[in-house]
Amino acid sequence: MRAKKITTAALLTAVALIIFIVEAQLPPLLPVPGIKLGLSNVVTLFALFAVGPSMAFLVLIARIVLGGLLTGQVVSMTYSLAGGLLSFVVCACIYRFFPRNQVFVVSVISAVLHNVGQIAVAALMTSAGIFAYLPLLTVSGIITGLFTGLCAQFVLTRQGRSGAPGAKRPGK
Amino acid sequence: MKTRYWILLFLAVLLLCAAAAWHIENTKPSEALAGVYQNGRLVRTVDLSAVTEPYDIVLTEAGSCDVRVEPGKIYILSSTCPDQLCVKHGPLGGGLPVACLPNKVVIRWLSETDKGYDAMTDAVN
Repeated sequence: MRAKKITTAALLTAVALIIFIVEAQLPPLLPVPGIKLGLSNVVTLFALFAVGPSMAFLVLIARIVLGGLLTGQVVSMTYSLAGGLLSFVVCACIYRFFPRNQVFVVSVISAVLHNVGQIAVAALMTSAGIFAYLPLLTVSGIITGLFTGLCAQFVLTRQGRSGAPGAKRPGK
Repeated sequence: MKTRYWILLFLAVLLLCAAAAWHIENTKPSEALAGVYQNGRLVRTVDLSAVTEPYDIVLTEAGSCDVRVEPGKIYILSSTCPDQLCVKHGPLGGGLPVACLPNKVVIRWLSETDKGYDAMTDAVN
């Protein structure tokens, strides 16, 4: 059982890292700091709904730290860590109340909170004036959260029928 | 809560925030007083209306950022950050500051309240 858990965590982290690094190579969508698709959040959401919060937490932290080191952006890693932790804590509390056809709702909340956490740390490290970006980042968070959430939702609904890792909790 | 209500809620927040963002970017200060921040400190105050000759402010505390000051205009000319978003942002326009987050640099307009605060920090420094 333990070996299975470690394997699942390693597999999910590897997938999340690959998505993260590939996305980091793409040019930014808009010349606004903090706006990105955040595709690797699909893996965190999948882990949260399919396996549980502890697994999702491990995958999230491993992906942010390793991703930050591999892309060499240690300062950006601090921002991601703040955003990731804030959104994770809230999502881990609320995900139970959402059926699998509402994964995208959790994802949108997660994306918006990620931006809030990120901008709060950025304000501490630079200037409070950076909060002027909050409405714009909320707009982008809702759109990107919807996209990544629907990705995770489609994976989860298919996985529920397949017997893949974590498929032991069907019917949610 | 029904899916439909969530979608309506998100749509409402989206529209509100879009309006707020538009408002912020289109609000210009009465004076052309710009503040350059690094590592959470105001390192330089520039009155852009008083600039006659272009000059550079080079910030090297965390990475290197070359801030170009021209008459009525301030922008990041070059930076060592990986994404170069600050350079692409162009000159400081409305309420959205020019930010280089990897190098912890922010350039924004200063308001009346900021000026009082600046006078205080200047006295301390």
